[in-house]
Amino acid sequence: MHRRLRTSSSSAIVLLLFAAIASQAASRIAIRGLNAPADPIVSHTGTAASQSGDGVGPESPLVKLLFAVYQRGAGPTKGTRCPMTPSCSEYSRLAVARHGLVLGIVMTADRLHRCGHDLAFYEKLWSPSQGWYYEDPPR
Amino acid sequence: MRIRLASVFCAVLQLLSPSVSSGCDAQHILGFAQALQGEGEYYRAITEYKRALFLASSDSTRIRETAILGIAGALFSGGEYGRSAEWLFTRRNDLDSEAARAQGRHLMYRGLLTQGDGARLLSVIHQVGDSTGQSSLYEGLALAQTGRWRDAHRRFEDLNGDDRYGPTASAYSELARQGEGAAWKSPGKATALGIIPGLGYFYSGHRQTALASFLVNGVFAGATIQAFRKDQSILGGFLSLFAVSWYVGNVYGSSRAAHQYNQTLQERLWSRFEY
Repeated sequence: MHRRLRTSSSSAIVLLLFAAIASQAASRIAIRGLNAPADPIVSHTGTAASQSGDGVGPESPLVKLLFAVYQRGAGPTKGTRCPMTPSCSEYSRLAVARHGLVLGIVMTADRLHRCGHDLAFYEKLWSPSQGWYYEDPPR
Repeated sequence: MRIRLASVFCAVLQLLSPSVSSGCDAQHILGFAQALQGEGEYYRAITEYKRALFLASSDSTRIRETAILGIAGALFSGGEYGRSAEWLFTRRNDLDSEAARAQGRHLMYRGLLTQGDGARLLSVIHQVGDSTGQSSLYEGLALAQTGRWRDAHRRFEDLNGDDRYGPTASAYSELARQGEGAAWKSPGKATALGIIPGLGYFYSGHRQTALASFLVNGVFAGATIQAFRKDQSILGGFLSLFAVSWYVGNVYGSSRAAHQYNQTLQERLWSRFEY
């Protein structure tokens, strides 16, 4: 019992420490411009506007960092490409930015269910580096 | 010295003025604008039409009407359907002859319909106070475009006896009847069915998504239950966050899928209309 409590509290401390470091790192990364869109096509989906400081982008540094780490790090290295435009991670980022964290997560779950399925329902786009099927998060 | 310079300037102006006035003749400019429009130079044509409109005297009704309709036509040909319609709407009282008014109305209605703004078209027809067969036909089209198929069907049915628009209305009426009887999906029903993971998507025609939702929700729910059964409360709590997110996403998505289905069906039905 004592052992489990100790494990839980040490996990919580590690998580808090990670959050603190992450917030610091995110503010530095934001200054360096790591969140700049990787592909010019994302400006089509409104990303460029959200980067320009019009208050649309996710405000929390931790959320910013998580999206940046996934979009710049994990996403490109995992090798598969999302068939949708904007990609699921970008959709999620926009959904969180527009509707807050809770509804953003719900919308992301819905999008992950849909991703790559029943493509006849989506407008087909052509782009050399992004997905093919267009679906913007609701405004 | 100053007086001498001024008199020289006035003399030069007087010498130039006849040639300037002949070069600025509204009728000639109108011809030039029409030639530009014929060559596909729509935006330059608009400038020339506006120049002709500016120079036309108040009694030259024909030049004014031709320029107004020319600007609208050039905007329409240039793909600016909404702007073309709005231009005609603001200048509709400057069209004096019945022929010009009829042409203007036709171009305005067509512009709004091509723009996909059926709601605005309905409002414009109401504001213009047009009760011709042509306006009834466009009103029916606007109703169909906004998804009010029953009203559109009725509007086309009313035109069946019309000599000029009757045959077209009859063909449209059949299409509107199909729209009215189409298998529309209820977002409320889809949400209710979404309580069982995947069923809401399935009802809305998203079969692959339904299967994915059923499997993902099943796997996460099962894993969460197993984690709690094996006293792995931290893992169970972590997994339950995911399971709840997937589940709520599935219910929310079921409603969106129904909307998406209806939108796709509406676009398919509307694309059958040729106007």
